Amino acid sequence: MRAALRLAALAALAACSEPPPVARRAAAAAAPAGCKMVAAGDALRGEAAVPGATLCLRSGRHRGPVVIAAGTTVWGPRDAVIERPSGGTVVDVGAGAALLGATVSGRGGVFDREDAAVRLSGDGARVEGAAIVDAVFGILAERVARVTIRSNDVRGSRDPAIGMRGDTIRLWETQDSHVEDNVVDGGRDVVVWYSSGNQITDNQVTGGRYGAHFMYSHHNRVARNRFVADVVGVFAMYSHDLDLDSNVVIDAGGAAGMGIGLKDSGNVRVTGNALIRNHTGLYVDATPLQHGHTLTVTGNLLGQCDTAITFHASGHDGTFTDNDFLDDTAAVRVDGGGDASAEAWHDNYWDDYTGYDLDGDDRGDLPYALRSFEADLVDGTPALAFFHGTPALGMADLVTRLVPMAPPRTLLVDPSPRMAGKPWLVREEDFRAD
Amino acid sequence: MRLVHLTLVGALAACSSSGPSTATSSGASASLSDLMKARNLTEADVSAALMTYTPTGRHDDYIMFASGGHSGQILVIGIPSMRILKYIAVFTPEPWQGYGYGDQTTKLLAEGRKRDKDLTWADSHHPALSESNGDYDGQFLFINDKANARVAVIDLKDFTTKQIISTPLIESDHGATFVTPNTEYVIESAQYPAPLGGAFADIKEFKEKYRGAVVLWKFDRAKGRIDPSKSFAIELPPYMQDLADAGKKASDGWLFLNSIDTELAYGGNLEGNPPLEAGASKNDMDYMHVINWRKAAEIAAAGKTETIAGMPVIRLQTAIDEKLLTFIPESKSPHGVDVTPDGTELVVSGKLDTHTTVYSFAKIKALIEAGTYETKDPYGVPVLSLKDTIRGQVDVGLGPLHSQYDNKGNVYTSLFLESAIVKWSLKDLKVIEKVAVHYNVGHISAAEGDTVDPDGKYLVAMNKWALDRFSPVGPLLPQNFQLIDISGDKMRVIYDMPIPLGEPHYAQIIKADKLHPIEMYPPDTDPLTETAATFPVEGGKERIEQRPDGVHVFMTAVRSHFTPDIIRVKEGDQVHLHVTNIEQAQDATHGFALDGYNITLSLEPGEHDDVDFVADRAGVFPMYCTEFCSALHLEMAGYFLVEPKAK
Repeated sequence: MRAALRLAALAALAACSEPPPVARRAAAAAAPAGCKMVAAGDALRGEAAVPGATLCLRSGRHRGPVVIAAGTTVWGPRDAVIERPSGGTVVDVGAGAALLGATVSGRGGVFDREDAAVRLSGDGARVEGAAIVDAVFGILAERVARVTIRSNDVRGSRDPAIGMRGDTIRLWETQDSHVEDNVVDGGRDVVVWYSSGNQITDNQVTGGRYGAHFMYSHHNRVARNRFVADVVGVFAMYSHDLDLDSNVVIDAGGAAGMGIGLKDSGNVRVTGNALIRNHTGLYVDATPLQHGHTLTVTGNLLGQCDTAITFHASGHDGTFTDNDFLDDTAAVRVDGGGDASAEAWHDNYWDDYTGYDLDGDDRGDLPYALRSFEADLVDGTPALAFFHGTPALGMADLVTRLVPMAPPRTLLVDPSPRMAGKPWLVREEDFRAD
Repeated sequence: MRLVHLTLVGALAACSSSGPSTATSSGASASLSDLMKARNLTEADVSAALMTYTPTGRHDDYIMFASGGHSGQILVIGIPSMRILKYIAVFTPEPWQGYGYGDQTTKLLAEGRKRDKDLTWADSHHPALSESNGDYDGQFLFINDKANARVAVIDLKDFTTKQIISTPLIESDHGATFVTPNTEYVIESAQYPAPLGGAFADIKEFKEKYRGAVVLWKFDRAKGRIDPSKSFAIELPPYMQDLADAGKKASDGWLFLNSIDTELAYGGNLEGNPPLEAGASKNDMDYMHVINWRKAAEIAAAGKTETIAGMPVIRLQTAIDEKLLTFIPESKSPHGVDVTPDGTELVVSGKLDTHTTVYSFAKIKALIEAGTYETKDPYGVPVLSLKDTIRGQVDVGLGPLHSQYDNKGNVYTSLFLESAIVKWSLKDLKVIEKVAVHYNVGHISAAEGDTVDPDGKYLVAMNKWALDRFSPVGPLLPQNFQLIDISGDKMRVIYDMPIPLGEPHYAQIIKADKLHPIEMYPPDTDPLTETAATFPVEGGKERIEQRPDGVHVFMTAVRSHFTPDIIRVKEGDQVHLHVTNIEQAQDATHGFALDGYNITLSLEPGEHDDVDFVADRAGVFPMYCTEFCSALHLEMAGYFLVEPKAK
């Protein structure tokens, strides 16, 4: 009921000016011309080992392990299933090689060994249009460059214990590569570690833990993705020069639920994202950390979050402009007794702004000041959502408001608040995690 | 607790509305609300102050022993006041206590030499209080030096170090120190693998020739010393073993070790390899080591060992054959395997994860006894199934690290990436609440929180970074211990304590009334041996004697003079100074400093020290008391006269 009401509230804002991100289904790849047909059974193992071949799989079950030699292309229809029931990585794609289409079954894989459906082991390797099923680990790229993971459908185990699932897509020491237009569901993480110069675009990641997790990974772009019902949408740590733009993150919940989390990172640009119904919309911890680095948060929707933005401590060197704060339980929270007044705030829309616009410039004539009452009483207990609405907190807050012993903290001042929110279109289907 | 808190708020509000002055400490007219306003304090701040402020003369309820990190020392801190009570000198010279400046402590430090190399620093990590039946007994304290694989024994009768021990078997340690439930053994496991015993092998032979090991140091409680002759080690694969814990109650007789490098990565980022941290975090799983130490002791006693660098070692193959060693997958880069108070379960977290895992010891034991293994590692060590050994996992937050327990069935886990402490129910495997800490919390320590009987009162978050928490002091910042009240329904940070030492890793918190230190030494006691001095000195029998081995000075210190207060020697004489503080009054400590000779002693009441040195510099050298012992402290001085050699 609550969700429906909120959805309705958002729909009221829906007068679209931009094409919205929508759920996608990965497309199957087309068969290459002039390919050599490979019958089901064991033949693929030998044929794929020949460098430079172009192979088309017939329908049926093809037994692995398959090592696709350098420059070789393997294509298959959906009902050509490559499998390795005895466990182990099923398909290894070498330099310049490609796996197009087909289904790869990871059944039999062992979690502890990181058995993967597909491993990209050579520069320029590609996996496109494949369906990954029953895999503990989906597609792993390790110590390679310029690989492409495109338009695949990767299904995780949906094991109730999320820690027992494997990563659906992992880039490890992988540079200058593309992860785009994939549909990923029910796995654990999409991981980008020690990997720079990558494009993570137009993917849909649902029902997992980290929608995209960056560690020591720089100059990456995350754009137009849709993260729904993951624990965390995008989390970046120890990384710099990241562009996070036009993503939708919805229903990041649980103990660590956050739409976008930034820790000890810098030169991060968060632009045009819709962060909706997350426990925390944007989490900022020591970002930027390095002298000379910045954080730019512009043109985002932070809607219906328990806390739209949480700063782990007083922030600085960040710019927060042109964002829409809509129907959040708390717009901004600063832990550790600090405030966000050293950040630059302007031209944001705050739905609880009560000022006026006599001069008609679409900006409030009075600054918007966000003050904290109850945060002082529950300082050190950031999980406001646990206690919001409880009689105890309400009474304590009331006492403080009526008989303030100390003035409430001013968390931030926006000198030029927008009088109206921007048109955002978030469709009902965007909320679905299937 | 919530009721108490609201009551407090109500009381404060009443004070404010009625307006009378209620606090006069900063001026007769200052009301509590004025003070709060002047100091910009909130009600929560005032509440925290009331929970921690300890008036003069009042003692703390708990004592925390915290690693002193690179200082090689231990910090003794009162809780809840967070007052530093003492530094215990352990691995490094410490002038206040004269540690490393007299014969006894110089010899003690020399015990800690490694391959004849003087070591003047240490990386002390994990203090461990001695236990009886799994509970702190307040008798002894142990701590390791990660950098040089050393272990020290501190006697809590006088809070001084009695023994430093090391084995050249391993080069560094980390799973140390942890004690078995009755302090039968002190556990020390290697961190960075190397060829056992200090041999050389190129790093490319890492898999074949590098090894880890766990040393079980036998503790002789009656003597208060580790007995190396009854100690032994177990060879382990080079997986970079990390933290440890001993089983208790249901799991007594077993020990558990984390490891972080099942990838066998060793770095080489200029040699075409990924850097170590990347290589070692590639695999999704590392291996928890499950070791049957009681059976291992029997195997060692039966002589099924090989002596390496003087240490009896159960070789890896023997450990496999005798079923001493089993692995279980654990989340990658774990930091802490923490046995529950009843010993039935183990909590393990991987610091790049979001969940923590609860293993069932009964399941582990049953699988081991049945020989039901999922696979074997490359060295042939059996590996149990992860799924078959766990009770469940809890999605606790980002970067879980280390766990402690309370007396209500809750677990507290530090979240490094989130900089938070999460409280969760062990029974239900559900998160209850979180509290933010600042910043990058590592270990946490709760009151008796790793024993069979946790108290559930206080928890200290040992934060690695301080950033903006304190006044700036240049680029090198203190660490931040944050005291958290965990006695109520909600956790609250109630004190920030800067620790100007890097890097205090772990601490243990004991009830203060379990400690029964002496107030002074019996007259003429050698603190190291806790026996009468070898060269006794009595009041009234002070003297200077010429002996074949040099000049012996039998000196006493008492308020406010040394006797003798003039010492005449000749240049080149070997001098044997024997000095006793003959006071039997609490806190009547004297120092003895001899200028120009780098000599400083701490002479606590009853304490006897010896200093042997060569009077190799002719001249006139004042000697004086360095402790402000009385009104005539400045006058407690004398002269050390070194007559030049005839030319």
